[in-house]
Amino acid sequence: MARLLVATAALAAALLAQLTIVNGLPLPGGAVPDLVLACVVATGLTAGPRAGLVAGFCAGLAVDLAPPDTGLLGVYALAFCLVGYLCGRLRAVTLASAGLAMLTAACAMAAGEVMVACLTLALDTPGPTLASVATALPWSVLYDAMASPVVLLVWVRAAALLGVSFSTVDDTPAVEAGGSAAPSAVAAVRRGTRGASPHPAGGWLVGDGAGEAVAVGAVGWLDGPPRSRRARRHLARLTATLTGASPRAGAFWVGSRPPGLVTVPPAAESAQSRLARLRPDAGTAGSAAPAARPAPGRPPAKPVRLGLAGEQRRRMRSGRGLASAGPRDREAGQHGPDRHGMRGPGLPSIPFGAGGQAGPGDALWRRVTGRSGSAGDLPGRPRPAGNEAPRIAFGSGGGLAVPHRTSPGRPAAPRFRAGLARSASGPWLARRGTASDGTAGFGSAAGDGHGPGLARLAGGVRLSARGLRAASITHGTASRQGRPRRAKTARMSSRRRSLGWLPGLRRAGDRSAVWRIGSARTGGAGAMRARVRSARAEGKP
Amino acid sequence: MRDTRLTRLLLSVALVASLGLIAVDYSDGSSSMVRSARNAAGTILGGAERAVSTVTAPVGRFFASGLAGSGGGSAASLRRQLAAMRAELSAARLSRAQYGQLRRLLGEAGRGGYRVVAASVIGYGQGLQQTVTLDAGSTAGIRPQMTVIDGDGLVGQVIAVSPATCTVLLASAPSSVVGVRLAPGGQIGWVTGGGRGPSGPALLRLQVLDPAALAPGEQLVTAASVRDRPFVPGVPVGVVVSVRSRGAALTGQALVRLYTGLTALDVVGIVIAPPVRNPRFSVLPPRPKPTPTPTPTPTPSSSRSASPHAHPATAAGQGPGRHG
Repeated sequence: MARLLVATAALAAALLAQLTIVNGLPLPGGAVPDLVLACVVATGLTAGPRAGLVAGFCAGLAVDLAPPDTGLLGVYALAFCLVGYLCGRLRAVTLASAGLAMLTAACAMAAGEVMVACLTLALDTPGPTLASVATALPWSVLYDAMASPVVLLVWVRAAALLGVSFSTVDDTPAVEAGGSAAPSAVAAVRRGTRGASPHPAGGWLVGDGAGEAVAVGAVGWLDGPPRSRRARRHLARLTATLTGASPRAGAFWVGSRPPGLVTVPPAAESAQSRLARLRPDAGTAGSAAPAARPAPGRPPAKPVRLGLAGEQRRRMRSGRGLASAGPRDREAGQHGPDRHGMRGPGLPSIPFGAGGQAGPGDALWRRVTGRSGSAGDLPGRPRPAGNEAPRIAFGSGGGLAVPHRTSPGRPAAPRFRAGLARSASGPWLARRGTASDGTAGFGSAAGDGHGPGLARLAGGVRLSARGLRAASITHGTASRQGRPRRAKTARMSSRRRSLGWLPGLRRAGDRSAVWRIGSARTGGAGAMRARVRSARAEGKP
Repeated sequence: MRDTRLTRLLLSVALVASLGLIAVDYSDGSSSMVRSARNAAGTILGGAERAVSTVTAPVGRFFASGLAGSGGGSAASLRRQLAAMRAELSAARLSRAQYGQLRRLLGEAGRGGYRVVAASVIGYGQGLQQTVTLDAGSTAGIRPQMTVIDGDGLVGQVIAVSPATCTVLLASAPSSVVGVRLAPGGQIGWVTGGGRGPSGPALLRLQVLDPAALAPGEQLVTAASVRDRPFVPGVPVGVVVSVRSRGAALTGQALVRLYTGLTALDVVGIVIAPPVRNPRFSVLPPRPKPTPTPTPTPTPSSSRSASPHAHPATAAGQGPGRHG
């Protein structure tokens, strides 16, 4: 409120000084500096786009309406609001350096003068001639360039005294809290930049917000906030690439980085949130053996399971029987079909970084599962026949427990959705638990079936040295049951549907690429809807 | 403050609003909405300007008088100006200068038989606009399309009036056209403003129907308008500086310098009643004697004696001396 009052008073004072004194000054060249425009530019550069826009519009309208009749009404309002908005968008330059900020202010004022001159020339027909504009415009630009640093400096100092934050973290949609990126990314960015250099730039600002200069300012911040889901995903991916943080638990970057982007190395303390990366060269392909060389300094990586939908479908079609080989498989047999809706073991999972070092993890697993075949053997060992999980061990971990499969010989199916664990209390928390109580590792076993008839549950198993301690976490069950999803239909196009809210144009689904064929009679969409409805009705009481 | 959807919405609203205002004002400049908005703003901002200028006017007048004369050439004249400025440092001296202007204004009005309302300039137009604000409004009997004069000659015409202030379009504005008569013969022509020049207002363009009558040093007075609006007859306008003769042109063209400096306007008079009979050329200052120099550009000095300057640029920069 105090800032608003001070800014309004300063703009009014600038307007009156301009109209009563400055415009009457017989300076050489026949032009005068524009104090009002300088104040609008300074407002935009210190307070952001919205404040610059509003200040520019109001000040321009006041200039238009003030008693010495200045041509067409609205010309100055149009030019000043555009200049104020653009200066707000370029607010990050105040953090870069004072010289850059003053250069920006001078350029913005020149742009404003040119805009006003063009509008006046084009619209104000009996107004100033082209010759007079051509003679006066360079002079006014020169005087503006002389006046703008003074005004900007005074304005910035006053804003810093009033406690205006110059942090561009708030400006950048890429690191918006709760926006396109997760709060963890914001935290990582802030931590990283602070750790790198407490005051990288902006020492000329008095406030202490200069330390939060954001390293990812280049990510789409000129594009504004992401509108579509695709843009939001893209921005989140870019942010994850730049910050080294994951925008979502379990998500990771597959493929090459977009060109021109430089990875910001994550801070030392955020080493745990490193991207899970595929390390195909770290293990022996086709075997359960990890690399021979251990990486001592690296913490155990997060297991990432890969799976393919085609594989899943094939398995569903084949309908294999239940093979009970482990205690959890036996448990699954008791409970009926597993969480993939089929009887038998679940998907094979490939733990990344789950190593086969002969360590406590192996011993533990052996003891827990009671099987002869160890989950992670060194390459030299003979492989036991049958019931062996062919794994692709990416990287070398600290002997993590790995899930096992009961059907031998089938190739592991990589799955490019980073795990089924979508909830925060999945492997994410389990990992912390293992780190704290010194257990050997953890595995998110996909082969364990719990919860009859539950589809796509997040499962996590935590193993400790004292034995199998924690059961799987059937998280997300309640939410899935309480909020039945819409029936999935085909999406015609990936474009944004702006008119999707109209009843005639609304289409269900838009999340799946699977065609919905048939009607209620043939067991198509209608049947699915009826099923959803009945499920909802059951859930209500 | 983040650039959010709300900011985009505000931006589009502001753009649409300003474009709409431009469109409304462009299509119908005297629409009631625009007029009432301008009236309200004139009441509020005009009062504020008035209050500010009562404080800052002596300072601004001091600087203006100092800067207006700074275009002078020789060291002797600079020394004279310095002495004059030092002498004007006291407020009593400043008010006496104002008094002198007022006396000259009233003398001119008396010669022409005009009834004037004295007012002082409290605001100047923004950017390239050639407008000023006076501290007299409709409560003082000011109406639009009244002639504004000062002690030297024509200033402009009133184009907008609010209760306490009025806006004057200067004669040097490009949109201002003044009908004139040449002094000795009474040939009819018109003078168009030239906008702002590098130093003060640029020279005005004169077009006369009879090209043969044009000669440097010719004096111009306003011709009578219909019902004496916007210009009453007989007000001195300026003097012809140079003649641009074009061979096949139907009208004779010349450049005119105003008698009024316009850069250091202070006390002006608004003619609220035209003279009973046309003063013809009686208000004009004495005609300067023609000089034998090849490029004669005679200008009247402050004492209105014939003292032609040999250098046109110097004369144009100085204008008629106002603080001698």
